[in-house]
Amino acid sequence: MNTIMKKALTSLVFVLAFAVCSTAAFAGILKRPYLIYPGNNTTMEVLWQDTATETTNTISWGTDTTYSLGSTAVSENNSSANQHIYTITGLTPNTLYYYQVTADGNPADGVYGSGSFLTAPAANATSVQFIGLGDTRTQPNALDMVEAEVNKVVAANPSYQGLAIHDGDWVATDAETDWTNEWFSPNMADSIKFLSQVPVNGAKGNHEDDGGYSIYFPKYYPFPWTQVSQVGTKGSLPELNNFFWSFDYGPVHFTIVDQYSEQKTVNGQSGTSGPSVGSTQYNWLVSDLTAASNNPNTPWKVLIYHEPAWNSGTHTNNLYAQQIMDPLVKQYNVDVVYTGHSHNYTRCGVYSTQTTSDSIAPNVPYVTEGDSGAPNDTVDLTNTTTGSSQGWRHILLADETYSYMTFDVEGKTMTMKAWSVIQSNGAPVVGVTNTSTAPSYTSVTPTTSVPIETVVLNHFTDMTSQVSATTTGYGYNRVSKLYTTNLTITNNGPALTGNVDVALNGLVSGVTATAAIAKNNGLTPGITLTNATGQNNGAPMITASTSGLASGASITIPLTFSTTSGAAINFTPVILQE
Amino acid sequence: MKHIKIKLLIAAVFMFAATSAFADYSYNFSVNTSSVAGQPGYVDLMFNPGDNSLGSATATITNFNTDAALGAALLTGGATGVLPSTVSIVNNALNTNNPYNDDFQQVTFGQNMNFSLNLSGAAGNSFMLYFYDGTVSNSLLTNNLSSGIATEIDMTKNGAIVTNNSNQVTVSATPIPAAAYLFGSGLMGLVGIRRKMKN
Repeated sequence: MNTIMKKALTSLVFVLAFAVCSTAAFAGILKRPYLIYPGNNTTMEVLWQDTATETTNTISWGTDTTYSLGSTAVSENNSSANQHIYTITGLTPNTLYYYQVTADGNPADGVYGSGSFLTAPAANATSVQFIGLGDTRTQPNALDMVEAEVNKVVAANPSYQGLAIHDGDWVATDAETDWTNEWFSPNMADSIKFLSQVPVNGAKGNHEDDGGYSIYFPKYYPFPWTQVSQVGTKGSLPELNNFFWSFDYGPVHFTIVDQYSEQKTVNGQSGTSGPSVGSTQYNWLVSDLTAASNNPNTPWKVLIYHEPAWNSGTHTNNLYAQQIMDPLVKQYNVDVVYTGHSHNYTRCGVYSTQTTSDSIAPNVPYVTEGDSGAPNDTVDLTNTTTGSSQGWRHILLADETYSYMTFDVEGKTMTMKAWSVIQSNGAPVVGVTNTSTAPSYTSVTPTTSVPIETVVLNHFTDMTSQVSATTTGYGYNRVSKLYTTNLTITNNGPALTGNVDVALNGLVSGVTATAAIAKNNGLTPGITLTNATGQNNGAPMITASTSGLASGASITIPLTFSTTSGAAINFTPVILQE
Repeated sequence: MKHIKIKLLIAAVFMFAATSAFADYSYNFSVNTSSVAGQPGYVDLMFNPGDNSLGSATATITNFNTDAALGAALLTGGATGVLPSTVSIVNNALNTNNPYNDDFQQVTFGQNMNFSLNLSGAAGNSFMLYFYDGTVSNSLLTNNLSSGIATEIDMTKNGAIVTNNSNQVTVSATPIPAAAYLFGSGLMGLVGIRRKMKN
């Protein structure tokens, strides 16, 4: 080896040593990039956290992976150690963007994460899709499994990428370690991918609560709260409360309540909390729902809070939510109440044709999505005790497998689907142990999603008061084993135009409730309208006319039913004009 | 004043009888079964309430005659009697133990089948006539394979409505009993008024 060769090799060694040293100089990533939708369709908030102080981290973004639209260095967030927050502005609504976070703007020095996001649709959009999660705490491996399924949904239909809502209990406790090892676990590749591509907006749960305030929940999810208050400090971090806020996403207005900003005892129920009538949050809530009701761009209203007014156990029904929130749900025609707390999927509700002495708002689905990772809670379909917070008496359907939801708004119709995550062979997921070091569910993979139920909500006009309906006696066809009847509707009022539908309240598609629950709800389980053309809030619906119904005119349509329960067919026709 | 009241009462009685939710209807059925003659099968006479049934009602089948060979009958719910004798079917409410009210009777079809039907009682109930093959795999003598019903008569507040889905079934109303009922109920009303006036 000659001298020149030796010098060249020596130089190369030096260069390599410098390269290694310069790479090693960067701290590394502790929480890979994740997203918050700040409620503006031209912005997106990207957050990440280093393992040590760094001031050179750079975010670049664009409409493809050349990230050519913008690039900027992002220093640490002042109050949060090693955390970086950057809000990308000037974006185009309903557009897919790609972004990359690097240590110093040079990918060769370290890529801390990359992903994509979909900006929110135009304010006057009538179509939108989003994901629903809740109670993701304690089992990051189960959460990873659920989020792997959500990633499949997003891959199949990128319009779901724009938003996920969360009803609280993100992590086991409001501690740094739980945020690091659960929600942001570095070992869960599907969770990391999910967080990198779907902004998550949501409510605080009781597990993020520390005596009415939180430290790490607002550190990692600094949503644009309406009136957040600092109640003290812990180390260098502020102790905050009043995490209530709202945002619009296309035609949907989301109102998020903090049930822990005031500690209240309602009717002696221990642990019941929430803002009282006249409090700052309550007044904001009234003002927010009023504004949303008056906004023609947001015909859909979703109310999100953690502890449900109505659920299937094991937690009690929240009396505060019943007494304070239910009247507002009725007054402002909230379309969906979205909660968690109990670790299962449950839909509670009553129909306007039923009588009930309690506060539940008729025709409103009270959804509990509390099983997106937390240990499953057994549902109780038998306790129909009235007047008790433990009387889970308004259950329409309950499922205790790991789950998530998809929402699809198309004009006057919102389709909510609850999905169960099971093994591909159809068996339930078992053996998911509580670990943050490895996704133990891989022992049961591949997994798949199967629908728990589909509920369709319609913003149609109820014309029942002016349309009478009668059925003929039921026939029974021994060949088809179907019951038949003819339903005649007569318009006793002004002419109706367009599609005229009949919803058969009392027959609830897919009801799994026990006879006790069904009886308590005045519902008929196990009966299917086999010639249904649609659905209205879980009740089968059939289009009677596509060309209106003149004043004084009648129309007769055949109805056919199958029954698995043998129960009598009993329904109340509700006439809807589309 | 008294005369006006009487007239009003008489008018009310007649109106009640004419449009009452409680009425009486009679029909003659004639069924041409020649297309299935010799085949084993079933005739099914069913009488059920709808959601708007206003009370009790009864379907009575009389004068049944046929050249068919009749077999065993399966009576369910409010049905009593076996063809060719009188069959009476009460509109019992449908439930798990009483999925329908019918006389489901075995038959080897002949050339024809004739009977009289009387429907009496509250509106909101329906009589249905079905025919099946021997294995109950196919509906017979009907153009409505969805419902399987050959002929249906619905008792409504505005009268009876006949829906005949069969080319082989001829059904004709026998109006005299209904008129007699109307006349009788009116007469009863008048007698009542007369008695009231005497008192």
